Amino acid sequence: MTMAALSQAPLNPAKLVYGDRVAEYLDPYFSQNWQLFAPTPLSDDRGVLARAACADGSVTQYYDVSARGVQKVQSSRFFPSRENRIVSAHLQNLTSSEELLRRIRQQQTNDKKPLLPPLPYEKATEADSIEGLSRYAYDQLPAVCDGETERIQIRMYVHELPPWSKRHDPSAEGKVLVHDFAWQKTGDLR
Amino acid sequence: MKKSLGNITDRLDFWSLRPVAVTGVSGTRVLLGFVGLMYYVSQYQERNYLFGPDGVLPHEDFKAQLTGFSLYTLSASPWYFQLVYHLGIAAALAVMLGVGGRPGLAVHWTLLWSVYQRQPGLLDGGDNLAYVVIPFLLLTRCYDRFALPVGLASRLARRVPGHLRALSVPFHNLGVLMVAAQICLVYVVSGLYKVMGEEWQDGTALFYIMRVAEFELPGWSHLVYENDALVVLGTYGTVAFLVYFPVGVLVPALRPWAAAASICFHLSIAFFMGLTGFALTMIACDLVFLSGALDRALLWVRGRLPGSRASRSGRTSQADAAPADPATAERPSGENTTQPSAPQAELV
Repeated sequence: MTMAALSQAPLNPAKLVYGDRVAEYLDPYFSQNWQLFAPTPLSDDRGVLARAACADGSVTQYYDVSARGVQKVQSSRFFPSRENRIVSAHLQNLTSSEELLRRIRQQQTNDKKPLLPPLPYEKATEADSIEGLSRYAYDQLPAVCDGETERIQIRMYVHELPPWSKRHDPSAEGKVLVHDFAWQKTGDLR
Repeated sequence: MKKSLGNITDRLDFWSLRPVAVTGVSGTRVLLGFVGLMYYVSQYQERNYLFGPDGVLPHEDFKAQLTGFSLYTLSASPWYFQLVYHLGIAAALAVMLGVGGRPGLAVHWTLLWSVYQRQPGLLDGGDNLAYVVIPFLLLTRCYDRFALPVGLASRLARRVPGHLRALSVPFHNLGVLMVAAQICLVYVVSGLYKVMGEEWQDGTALFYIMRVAEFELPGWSHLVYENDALVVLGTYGTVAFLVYFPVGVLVPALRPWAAAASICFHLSIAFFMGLTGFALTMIACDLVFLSGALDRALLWVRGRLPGSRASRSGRTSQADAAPADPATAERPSGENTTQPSAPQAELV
């Protein structure tokens, strides 16, 4: 129980020394993560758009492939579908990083120094998530290109909702950040 | 000196002879069984896509990213997948109904862990708590109440050698203590991290979370997040409740109130945020603090059902020396759960 408590402490000297050993003991069967909407609560709508390149060379428009999952959650209050979490878990992987690395990069940004490039394991996680999202997007678009899709590209969007101070301002819309990922061959996905 | 020593040995005796919160952990087991069952049932239509070998996480990719074990790795055959998935449903149902005893609970844990790992992206804090707590329940007498009567388990129990059976009560109490400590850890950690967050300090966190489409209930959530007073009170109330939960549990007079507050808090999470499984898992663990209240509720229900009275009371007195009188039923569970106070205080 003490180990479980230590694993949940914020980054501190004891955790830097013993953290790995504790994690080795607890993971995976007693691993814990109780931050639950803390310290920073979610304040944006995230999702994925996708477009397809057809066999005849044409490229389709963007489709929102994450909206259906969100609608499914909202339509039920009794054990709603969790399908949307496939998308949000991948987006979480793409947008967050390990606490120590995050602090190093934050420091480098503040000092206007060159940023630490992604570590090999970070690149691998990112590639897995892009592949996972592309596959999900491909499965959501069976009818495009008359079923002859060659490649698929996903676009992540993060729509920051207007802050508290602008809650009475109907014209406030909030920033939208967009990131396009590389085209994926559908043959590699399925 | 002598008196305090005697006091300690009395407490040790009590700790090793009287099982605490038996009704509470039995309730925990029922509710966790139900939530586990609903994990399978609510995703039954989508099971092939979410968990199947040819689904969104293909079998080879699944094996490559797996940590720990999963029964679903053993074969890529769709028939094997269907078999394990349906066995999972049966095991969860058995746990909920109280059939199969603790071996059945161990089987349920194995199958549940397997399906969780088959698609880890779907998991939330509730699932995490469930797979951590079920092994603790294996130590407890969580089948002494709310269980369908099956002769086999008690016949097997009588075959267990006496010195092993003597360990049953201390292990039970240890298991209850671990569930209690775990749920306190969950609340305090999530509370303290919230204290560190800017939006939680400003009293506006609720406003931000409730607008996120994934956690919004259209037509209802705006009634809360557009009301300044509700947002601020709700945000601060949440943090205060989470941080002080262990205090509420350690003081016997506050205990039922802390547990009741937790249940209301999680029911509103279930309603507004759509996190039914998460909320019910938390409530399940809170039940260990409500053993006395559950005992009284049971007695009240039995009083209304005259037909089942005789047979039921015979069974419980055989199962263990549980007090059937409401006055005494409240007392032991109230006193006993005070004892874990020392280790819990260290955690906080």
